Amino acid sequence: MDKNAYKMLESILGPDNVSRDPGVLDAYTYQWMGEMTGNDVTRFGPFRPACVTLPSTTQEVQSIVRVCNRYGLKFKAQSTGWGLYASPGEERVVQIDLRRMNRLIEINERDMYAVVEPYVIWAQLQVEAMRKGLNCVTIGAGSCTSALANCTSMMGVANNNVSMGYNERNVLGVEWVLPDGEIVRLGSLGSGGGWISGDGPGPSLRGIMRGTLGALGGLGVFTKCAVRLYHWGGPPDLPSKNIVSMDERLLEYPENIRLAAPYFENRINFEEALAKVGEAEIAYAVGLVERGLMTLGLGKENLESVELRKTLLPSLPKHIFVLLLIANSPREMEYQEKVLEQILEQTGGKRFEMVEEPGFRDIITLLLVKGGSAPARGVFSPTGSFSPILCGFFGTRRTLTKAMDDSEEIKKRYVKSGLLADDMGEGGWGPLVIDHGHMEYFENETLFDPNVPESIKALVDLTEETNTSLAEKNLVIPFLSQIKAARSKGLPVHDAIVPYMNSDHRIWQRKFKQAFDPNDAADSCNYIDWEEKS
Amino acid sequence: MALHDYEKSMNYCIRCSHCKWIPLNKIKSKRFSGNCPAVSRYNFHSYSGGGRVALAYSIFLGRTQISSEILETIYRCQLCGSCQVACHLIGEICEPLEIARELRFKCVEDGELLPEHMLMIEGMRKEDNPFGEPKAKRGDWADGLGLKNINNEKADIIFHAGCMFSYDQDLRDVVRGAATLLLQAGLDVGIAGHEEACCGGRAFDVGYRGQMENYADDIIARIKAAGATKLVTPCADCYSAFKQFYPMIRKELDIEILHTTEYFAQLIREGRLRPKDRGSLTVTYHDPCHLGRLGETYVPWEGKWKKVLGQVNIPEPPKQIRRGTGGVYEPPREILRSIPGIKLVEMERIREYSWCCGAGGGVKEAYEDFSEWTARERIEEAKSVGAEALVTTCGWCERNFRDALIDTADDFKIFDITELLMGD
Repeated sequence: MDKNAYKMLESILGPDNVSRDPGVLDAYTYQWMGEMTGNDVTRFGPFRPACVTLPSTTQEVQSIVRVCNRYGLKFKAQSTGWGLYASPGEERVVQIDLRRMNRLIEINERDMYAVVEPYVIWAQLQVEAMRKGLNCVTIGAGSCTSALANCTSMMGVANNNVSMGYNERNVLGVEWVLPDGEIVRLGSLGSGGGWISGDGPGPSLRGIMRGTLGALGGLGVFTKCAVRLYHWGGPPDLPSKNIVSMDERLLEYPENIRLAAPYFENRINFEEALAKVGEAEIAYAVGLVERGLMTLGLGKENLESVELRKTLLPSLPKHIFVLLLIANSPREMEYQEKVLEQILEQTGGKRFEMVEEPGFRDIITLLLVKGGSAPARGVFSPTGSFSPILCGFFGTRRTLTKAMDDSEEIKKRYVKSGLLADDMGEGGWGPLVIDHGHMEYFENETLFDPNVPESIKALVDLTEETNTSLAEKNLVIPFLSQIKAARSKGLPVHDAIVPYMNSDHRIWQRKFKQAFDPNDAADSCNYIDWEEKS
Repeated sequence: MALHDYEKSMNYCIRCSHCKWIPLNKIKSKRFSGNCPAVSRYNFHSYSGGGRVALAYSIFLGRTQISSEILETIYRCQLCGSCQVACHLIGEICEPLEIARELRFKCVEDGELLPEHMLMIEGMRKEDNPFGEPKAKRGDWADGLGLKNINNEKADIIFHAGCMFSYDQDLRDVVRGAATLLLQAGLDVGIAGHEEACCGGRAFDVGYRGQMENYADDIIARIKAAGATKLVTPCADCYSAFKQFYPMIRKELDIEILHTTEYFAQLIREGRLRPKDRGSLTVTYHDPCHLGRLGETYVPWEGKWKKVLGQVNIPEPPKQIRRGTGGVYEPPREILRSIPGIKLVEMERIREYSWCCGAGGGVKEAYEDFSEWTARERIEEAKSVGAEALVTTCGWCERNFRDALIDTADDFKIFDITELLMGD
C-alpha cells in the first residue's frame, strides 16, 4: 500500500497498532468459509488486507476512514470478525479490527439499555445485565459474537427472540462513522437526548443502516450503540459445573424456570402450537434442534455422537421443540403451565419427558438462556464446517412448514450422495417464533467438510437449488445463504438474488450506497456494488 | 512431529474466537472474561490461538516468511494452553497449542532464535539448569534434612525439586518444607542432589526439542537405578513435562508421578499429615497451567481421521481430546480447606480455564514486561474476590507473582500451598 498512507495510519494509531506484515495479515485472511471463496481448499480467502489497524476510539476510526478516502483505499471493519463477511472482498482494503474498542460504557437500569462498543460480546453484556435483573438477546451464532455488530450490521437470531424480539429492533441510539468519515448519531442521540431511542427525536435511519439483514460493513463503521435490555426473571447468575457442554450441570435449577419439550404428530400441528405459544406470550425462549442435527453434535466427541445416532435416534420424535418458561411468581408459573397444557390439548402435543429431566434439562436451559459453546460445537465439530440453507428465512404463519418440508426433501438427496454429514435432511435449528409470533424463522444447518472440494460444492449446489425451489413457491429467499453461494462464484451478492424477487431492490440500495459513500471507500462485497457491473 | 503433521489440523480452525475467552457459560464479569494473555495484551488476531493456527498454516504453505514481527508474535505467548481448552469445547481436529509450539520448533530449526533463549539454553547445556547456576550447588537446598541420596542409596520416593526450587533462595522454605512434610509422614524419600538435572520442559517450550530428549533419557536412567515407585515433585513445570511432554516424545517414565499437592492431600486424608493452624486468612488459589490443564497426561496418537455418516470425521483409533479436564485441581483445594483458619475463596477464572501467571513459554526470559503484566492481571482478579493472599503451588508462578509486585507499593501476599501447610 501507499507508504504515505501507511505512515499516516502509524501516526494516528501508534506503530504497535498497525501492521502490514504478511503473516499478521494472513491471520485476517483465514476465515470460516474462506474454503468457499478462496483460490484453493484452504481457509485463506482470496484477498489479503493491505494492512490491519487497531483503533481505540471513534476519532481514530474516523481518521482511518479519511486516510482511506484520501488515498483511494477501501476499508473493512470487523468486531469479533467471524465468517467471510468480516474479511476484505477485494485488493487494497484496510482491515479495521475494532478489538480495542471494547468498553461497556453504561448499563442504564432505569431505562433498560446498555451502551457498548464493538468488541463487547453478548456473553459479557449478558452477565453484567443479569446481575441487575436485566437480559439481552444472545444470538445463535454464539455469545462470543459482538453485540454491536449484531445490532447494527448483521442478521442473527436467537432462541429468546420470542420474548425479547429480533435485534434489528433492539438497537437504540447509534454512533456511526460514515464511509466518507462524517460521524452521524442516530435516534435520540442525534438530538442530544441520550441513547434511549433509535428513532427520534433525531434522525432515524434504521432501514438504511441495517434493514433486516444489515449492510455487513458496506456502509461504514459503527462505533457505539445502545442495546435494549429486558426484564430478567431468573437468578443473577446460573453457576454450573464442568466445562464440556454435554457434561455441564447447573449447581441449582432455579425454582421459577421450567423447561418443556412438546412433540407433535406432524408439522402442521407443530406450527399451530408454536403460533399459539407466541400469541399467548408465555415463553421466554423457544428453540428447535431437529433430531438429525442433534444426534450429530450431541456427543462429547464425534465418536460418541456417532454412537448416539444409533442408540438415541430411535427414541427421538421428529416434530419437537423446546420452550423455557420463566415466571416472576408461583402464580405466574402456574398460569404459564396451564396455558401450555391447553395449547398442547388443542394441537395434540405431548411432553417428551426425557428432555425435561435433569441432565438434558440443564444443557438445554443453558443453551436457551446463554448460548455457550453448545451451538458452535453442534455444527462445527462433526465435519469442520457448516452453512445453513435457509439462513435468513423470515417467514409468516404457515410458510415455516413449507420451508421446512422443502429444505428437508431437497437436502435428503444431497445427503444420500455422501458429500454432506448425514442428518437425514433434518438439520433444523431456529428460534421458530420471533416477537411473540409476528415472524417465524427456520434454518437448516448443513454440515460439510472444508477439506473436501466435492463437499463444498455440494453445499453450494444445495443452497442454490433450495433457493430456486423456494422462489418457485413464492417463498422468501434466504439472503445470507445466497450471499455465500454468490461469493463462492465471485458474483455480486444482490445480482444473484434479484431474479427471485418481485422488485429490483438494487436501484434504491445503490442510491443509498452512492449517497453515503461518495468515494466508494467502504468495502461492499457483502452489500451492493457502488455501480452496476457489466 | 513437524508442521507437516498438523496440515489437516491447521485447516480446521473455524475462526470463532472461542480461543479468546474462558468457556462462555463460566463468564462471571466482563473484566475477567478473557483467557489469553497474548491477545489480551497485543490485540492482533495473530496473537490468539486461532491466529497462530492461521499464521502457522501460512508459513507452512509458503505464503509468509518468519519476519522479526512474526518471531515476536510466536514467542509472545506463554503456551498456557487456555486457547486449546476453549477450542476443544467446539471441535477436536484443530490443535492450537501444539501448532503454536510446533512453530517454535520450526524457528529453532530455521535458526530464528531469541538471544534470551539462547542464553537460557546455554545455561542448560553447561549447568543443567536454565539459569546457568552452578550444578554443584543444585542440592544445597536439602542440607541438613536427612534425605537419602539416590545416587548411591535406594529410596521408595524420588523427590525431584526442579530448577526453580533448587536455586531460588526466596523459595527455599517451600522446597525444604515439602521434603520435610514427606519425611514427617514417615516416607522413604531420596533426592539426586547435585546430580538432579532440569526436566527440559522449558527448552521444549521455546523450541529446543532435542535438549529435552537428553534430559528425559537422564531421568529415566536415574529412576531405574533408584528402584523407586514414585516420583514426587513440588514443581508444576516438571510435573507437566513428565506427564505431557515426555509421552509426546515417546519417553515415558515408568513410575507413578505425583505433584506434592496430590501426595499431601492423600496423606491428610489418611491422617498421616495434620495441617497446623496458621491464623485466620482469606486466600484464593491460582491453578498453575502446568499442574492444571497442562498437567493432564498426554496420550500419544498415531492414527487417521475416518469418514462416517457422510462427512463426519472420527479418529481411528480413538484419540484423546485435550481439554484439561484431567488436570490436578481438587487436591490443592482439599489441602487449603483442611488448614484451620484458612478461608478459600475462588476467583472467576479457575481450573481448566485459569488465567496464566505469565511466566511460561519462555516469556519470562524474553519479555519480562509482558510476563509481569500477565501476573498483575491475576493479582487484580485475586483481590477482586476479597482474598488477602494468593496461593499457588508452582515455583515459577510464585516467582513471577512476587516479581510483578516488586516495584509496586502493594503488600499483597503470595504463598505456596506448602508454606500454609507448614504453619508458622
